[in-house]
Amino acid sequence: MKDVLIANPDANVEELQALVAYFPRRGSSN
Amino acid sequence: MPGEVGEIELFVERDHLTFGSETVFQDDHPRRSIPIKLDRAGVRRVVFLPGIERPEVLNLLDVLTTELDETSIEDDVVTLMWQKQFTHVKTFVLDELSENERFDESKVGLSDPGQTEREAESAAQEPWVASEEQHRLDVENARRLAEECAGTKSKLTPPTPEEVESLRREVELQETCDVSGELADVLFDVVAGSREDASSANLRNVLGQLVVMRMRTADFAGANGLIQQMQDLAKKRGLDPAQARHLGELTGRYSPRSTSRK
Repeated sequence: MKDVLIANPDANVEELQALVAYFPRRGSSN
Repeated sequence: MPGEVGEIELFVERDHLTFGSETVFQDDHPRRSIPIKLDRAGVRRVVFLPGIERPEVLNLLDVLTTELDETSIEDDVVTLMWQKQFTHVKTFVLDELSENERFDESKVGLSDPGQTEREAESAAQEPWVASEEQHRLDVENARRLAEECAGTKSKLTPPTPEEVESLRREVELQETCDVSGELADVLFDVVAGSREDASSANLRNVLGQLVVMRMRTADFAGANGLIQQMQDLAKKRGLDPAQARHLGELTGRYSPRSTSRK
């Protein structure tokens, strides 16, 4: 689900928020 | 005769033709004028090559004196000239897709016989180079604007909607991801030090969009970091209550939330 949504440029904010909730540490903080 | 004097190069200047610095033909009749007809078709230069014969000249005159249907897309001087397949007449046409005055040499298949000042100028303004350069300048300007605002908190000049839009556009672009961190920092400085008005609300919205951009690029930790910074800013002592409220609203809108699951 994660990769599917990340690959989906049309993901809406809600879907993105759900992903952030699941994977809060993913990526690098600037 | 042209054949005896070599190449003849005429420039089209709206309603007259020039040879060197001299006007050799002028006609300002809106429908009949040959220069105006050429000018409207985007022809900037006509070159007669050595060896041109009478039939080709007559053919050319035939084209140039044809009454044109101005509403027709196909029926223009350039098309008619192309159809005649002149071998001793070359036209240099303004590239319609470019706003810069640039000759489209590909249309005439002739290497440039004489570099004029205008062409030298045009060559320096190749559109694709300009757009890349423009992009770099836009990024630089956005950063400078933000830095200037951050450096003069006491008397902030509210950014214009265009500047805000420019910032917003920049942060949305993938290639500006590397400056988004710095941009966020200066935006925070600006937001924290600015008076409440429509512009500062827009800047806060840009911060919200930065959060979404980080989400989209799967930088979830970065998104969370920004939200945290926004929340901290909202709690800052002395911050305009309206700004704090807006920040709270934005962080509420973009904060991670679990969807209902078992």
